[in-house]
Amino acid sequence: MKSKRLFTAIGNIDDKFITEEAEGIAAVKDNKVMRSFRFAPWLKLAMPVAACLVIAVGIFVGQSGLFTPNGVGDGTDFTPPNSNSGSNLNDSAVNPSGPSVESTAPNDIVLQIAYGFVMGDNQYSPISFDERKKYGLVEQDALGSTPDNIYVITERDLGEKMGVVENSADESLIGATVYHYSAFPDSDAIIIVNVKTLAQTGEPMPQTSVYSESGYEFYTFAGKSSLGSLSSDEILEDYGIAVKTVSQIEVLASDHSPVVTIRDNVKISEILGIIRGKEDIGLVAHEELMQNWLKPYDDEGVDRAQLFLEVGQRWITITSKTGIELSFIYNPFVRSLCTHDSFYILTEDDAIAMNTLLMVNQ
Amino acid sequence: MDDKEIIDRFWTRSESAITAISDKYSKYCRVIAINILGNAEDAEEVLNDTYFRIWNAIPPGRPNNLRAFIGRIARNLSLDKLEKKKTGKRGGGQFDAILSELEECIADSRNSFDERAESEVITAALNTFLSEQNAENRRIFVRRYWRAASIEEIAVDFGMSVGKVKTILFRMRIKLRKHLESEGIYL
Repeated sequence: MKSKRLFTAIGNIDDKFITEEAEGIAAVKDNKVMRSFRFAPWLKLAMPVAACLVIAVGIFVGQSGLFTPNGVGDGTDFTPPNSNSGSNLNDSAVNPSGPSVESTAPNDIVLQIAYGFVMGDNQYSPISFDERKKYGLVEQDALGSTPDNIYVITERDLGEKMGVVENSADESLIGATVYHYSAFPDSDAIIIVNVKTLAQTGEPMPQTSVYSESGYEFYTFAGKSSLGSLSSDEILEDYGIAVKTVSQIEVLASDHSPVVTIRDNVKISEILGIIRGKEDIGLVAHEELMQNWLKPYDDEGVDRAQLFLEVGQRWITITSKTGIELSFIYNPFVRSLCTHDSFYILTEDDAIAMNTLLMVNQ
Repeated sequence: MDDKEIIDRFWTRSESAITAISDKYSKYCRVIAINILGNAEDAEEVLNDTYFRIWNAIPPGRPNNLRAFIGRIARNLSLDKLEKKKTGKRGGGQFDAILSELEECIADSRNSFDERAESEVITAALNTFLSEQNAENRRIFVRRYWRAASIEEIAVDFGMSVGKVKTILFRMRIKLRKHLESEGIYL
């Protein structure tokens, strides 16, 4: 394969570039502000639809508060149990367009916990505050994670062993044991990781530790990793999505406001029917499609047209009965669906049907 | 322990050299191997083979840049392993996606020449190309195509949106293709 020859040649590039890359990463990892991006809520939601975000991300990060209703936040839980501060730090810590991290975060440890990991094909991220509510780990009327309301995981909560952490930006997590959560023994969506803290060795937790004293942390499924170019049937199969396994399909507008949640099997079947049987057209072809749609607009009009394109998007999250979620972005104007690294084109008839089901007002 | 001391231990044939290099670079190499192979077990094998190769290479070698040296060995061994394992199955790591992206940089085949010489010519062109890029873009390119990192991982580590990383890589691939063509390289 020609590209393999190129990949091999890249392997022999000058050492200085390799050193530069390694030093650059180290510098970035030492940068607290950068760290605040690690598991911003939009990024977590975006992970399965990462490739589609060439256009979409701009609008999401440009609007503050989209993910922080009532100022509480849908954010990843950044408050460590051993933090001295009881305040909810989610807003400033995770919103890229919000206040700077330095202005509100009492110390760096609130940010470091925001690492996910990979196990097999699955990517997991730290549990968010809203997910804690979803799984009954915090009172429904709680306003944020505090040392008082953090659920302390004990060995009784450990279900069957699932495997070990294979890769993570937090290298100390690599090799940590992963368990099912006994309250949801059949779910791969919420799991517990033995984060190998010093608590297990009987030594006191250092003040700088990012994990709880119990030595266990909840993580939730964020998406499949490294799927590459796949047909829509292959993606659905990888996620175990079929009419009988789907519990709901949630549709959000591009500003993340809820549009409709579909639980009716007939409608679920129709949506899956539209998604099925599509081949990946690739990122380049999809970008060309977008650019072609924007072509008729002049320099002044193109920004508004792009905004129009983005605002029309729908985020479709298909949730299986085991809690696994697969998200797509639907672009009604170019009739495309995207997820992971794959892009699909709908027929005109399919797009009309999809617009009706997703309540797209064109 | 600094790299020079590790290399000195290899030269004195001290087995503690393996422990030292493992302590310092095992995670770095493991991530490269996992990114290419998509499998922790295979990556572990590659890691062991990497130490073995280094044990045989130093001496007589005395690499100026141990990080690049060991990373390159781990990368090449991962590629070899993947090649052996590929039996028409879909790859689990980043490798397939990366190859697919790199296809865009390659013009139609016109010349054929000795594979090694070809690789050296391409590498020289790549070095020139990379020298002409700004530092951030260069680091992103190397992280993606040398270390085989996922785009999501790059986005997180560089504090960028996934879309921005994709756009940067997309533009660099187009530039690289033009650069290779201008150098008369048609793979």
